Parts: sequence; C-alpha cells; structure tokens
Amino acid sequence: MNEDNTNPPAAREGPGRDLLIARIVDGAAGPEDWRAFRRAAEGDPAIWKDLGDAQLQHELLCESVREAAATADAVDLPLVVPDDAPMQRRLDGLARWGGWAVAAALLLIWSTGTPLLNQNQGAVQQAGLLPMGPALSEATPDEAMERYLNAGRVAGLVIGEVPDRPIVETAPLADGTIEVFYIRQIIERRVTDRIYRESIDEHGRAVAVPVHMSQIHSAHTN
Amino acid sequence: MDEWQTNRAAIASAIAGDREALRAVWADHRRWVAAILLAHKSREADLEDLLQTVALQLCRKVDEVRDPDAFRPWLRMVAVNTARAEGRSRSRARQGFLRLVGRTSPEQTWSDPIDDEGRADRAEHGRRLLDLARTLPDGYREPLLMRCVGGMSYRQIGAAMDLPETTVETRIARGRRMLRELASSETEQARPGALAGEA
Repeated sequence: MNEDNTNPPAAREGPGRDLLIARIVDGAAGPEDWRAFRRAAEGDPAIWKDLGDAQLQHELLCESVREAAATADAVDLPLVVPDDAPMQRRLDGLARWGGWAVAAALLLIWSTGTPLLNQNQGAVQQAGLLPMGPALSEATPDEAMERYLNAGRVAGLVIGEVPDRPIVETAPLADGTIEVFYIRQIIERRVTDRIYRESIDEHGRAVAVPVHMSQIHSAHTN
Repeated sequence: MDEWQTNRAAIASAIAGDREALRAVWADHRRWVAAILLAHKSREADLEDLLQTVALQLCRKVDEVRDPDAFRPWLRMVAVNTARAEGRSRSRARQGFLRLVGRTSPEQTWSDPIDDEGRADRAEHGRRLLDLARTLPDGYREPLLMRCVGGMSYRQIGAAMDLPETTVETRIARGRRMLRELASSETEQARPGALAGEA
C-alpha cells in the first residue's frame, strides 16, 4: 500500500508501469509500490532505464519550468486598476459591428481628401492636424501624444487609448538595458456616408466594394 | 498538508477586499499561474504580459469568487482563458509586426549568457523538454507542469483542475511516458545517419 492508500498497479507493461514510475519519481511510492517495481524489474530490467530517464527528465523539466515561472516574481499587482468599462462598452459596440468597422477603416484609407461628414468637421481637422507651432515642435513625443489624445477627445475624434500595450519584442542591449517594442492602440471615430467592404475581383486582387447604407442599418439593428 | 503559504482565511480576506491579503495571495500563486500559462499559451505569447493580464483580472474580479475554496479553480480558469485568448491575438499582432519590420522572432534573437558549457547543455535540454511537454495533448501537459511548481501534490492539482486525484496521477504518468517517447524519437531523428538509413 502506498501513501495514497491505493493498490500498487500491475507493473509489466502499459499504464501500471507508468504509474509505478510516476509514483517513484514523485516520491509518492509506498512499500507495496516498491515491491511491485522490483518484481517487474526482475522480469524486465529495462524498467530501471525508464525510471532513470523519467527521473532525469522530470528534474530537467522542473528546472526549466521554474526558470520560466520565475518571471512571475517580477509581476506585482497593479497599483491602480484602470476602469476601462466605458472603453469596453465602446469595444463591445465595435465588435457588434464586426466587419463594418474594418470596412470603415478601408474607406478612411482610400478616401484621402474626401470630406468627412462630421458635424464638428472643423474641430476634427484641428484634432488631426494640430498646427505645428513652436510649442508643439518643442514638445516631447509623450507630450505631443497627450495633446493629440486630449484634442481628439474634445473634437470627438478620439475615443480613447486601449489600456493594454501588447509587447511585440524585447531584446537586451549591450549597455545592459532592455529594448522593448510595444503597440499603442488608439480608438478613433469618424462619421461618413460611404462604407466599402473588402472583396476579391476576378483576377484575385483585393478591391473595395461600396456597401449600401440600408445594409449597414439592417446589420446594426439585427 | 497545504503547500501554499496563504491559507483559506487570507483568500477570504482578499475576496472581501483586503488589498494586502490580495497581494500576499498573488505572491503565493503567481509562479503557479505562470506554470498554467506555460501549459496553455501560444509559443509567441509573452509570459510576462500574460501574467500582468491575469494580475489585472485578479484585481478586477476577485470579488466575484463566492467561496475561498473555489479561488484556485477560478484563478486557474482566468489564466487558461487569458493564455488562450491573448495568446492568439498577440501572436497575430506579433507576426504582422515582424513582417513589417523584417525581424526574426524573439526566440531566435534572445540568447542567455550561460558561460558554463555543461550548465548550458542542461538548461538547453530542459528547455527542449519544456517545448516537447507543451506539445502534449490538453489535459496532460498542465498537471505535468504544475507538479514542477512548489511540488504540488496530486490532490492539490486535482482540486485546482476539478479532477479526481487518481485521474491526475494517471495523466501525469501517461504524460511522462509520452514525453519520454517524444524525446527518444527526437534523439533518434537527430542521430547522424538516421535519415540516411544507417547503411
């Protein structure tokens, strides 16, 4: 009987043999298990090799897991938990629109110069193209970004920044510092009367196909 | 015997809103969470990013846990869901970015400064085993990796995964056999002459 009060598994082949090896590796084998193991080894000495391999692999695997999991020691709970509920509601709204959001993005790319139908058009343009006066030109990138976000919010162009900043890549530098590449995601808003969807023409090329506004309204209400 | 430093009372306090208790509970569980993430994350997903996401979810939603005994299964599910969901999206984002800037994957650019050759070999062997372990079927790799963190018992793993202890034991035993076979097969393929038929 082992410490789990379970009977020793038959050890010749298959699951019983695996269980015995596992119990020994994990230090969970009782006297009965050891007796069963020795009986099995008398008939098949190769079981010793399997045990040795299993013990070594468990040890190496655990070292590797512990090394990787040690990353966790540097991760503390956030000091401030951002309240992203309003953002989440907007993202949920975008998800409901599904492909239409993508299509709208297509339009924005391909309609350079096309007037947008935003009621605050003047303000939108100000938000997107803030005058490059001396103050802005002297601003740090973070200050300039903050000004863009604030002006965009006021103008209704910027909804907000997604709180998560996905890490794209990290690399150690020669001076001991670490270079981190990450993505900042800004949710913007535009009002338009033209929407296109992605499609493929007969030559396999990507094309933009106009979508009737009635289709969009019906998709939104369904 | 409970291997965790934080007990049921500490977890109950954390759930009730005690910030210090929550910190202690997180400090006690984060390596375990890391092992779960390792078992479920995509290769491209960054472990530290995922841990930060789980930590954030813990702060936001721990008050939804009704029973301290349900805390570990709940935290495990948060980790599993985070690894699966964010792993996929981050993988897509990273692949897109890497195509844009023409960089290779971080796994290829990062090198560990291990000067001792024997230690480096051992560490490399361990990492290779971890890679192989992560190819095991769902349900096998997680208990195998959990066993490596804090020496979790079969019973504790079973409680966290909502599985009977005997099932955990069987999965660990079978998982190890599969890992031995995978490693053996890989060694066989890497042997000189293996592809040439050893003629």
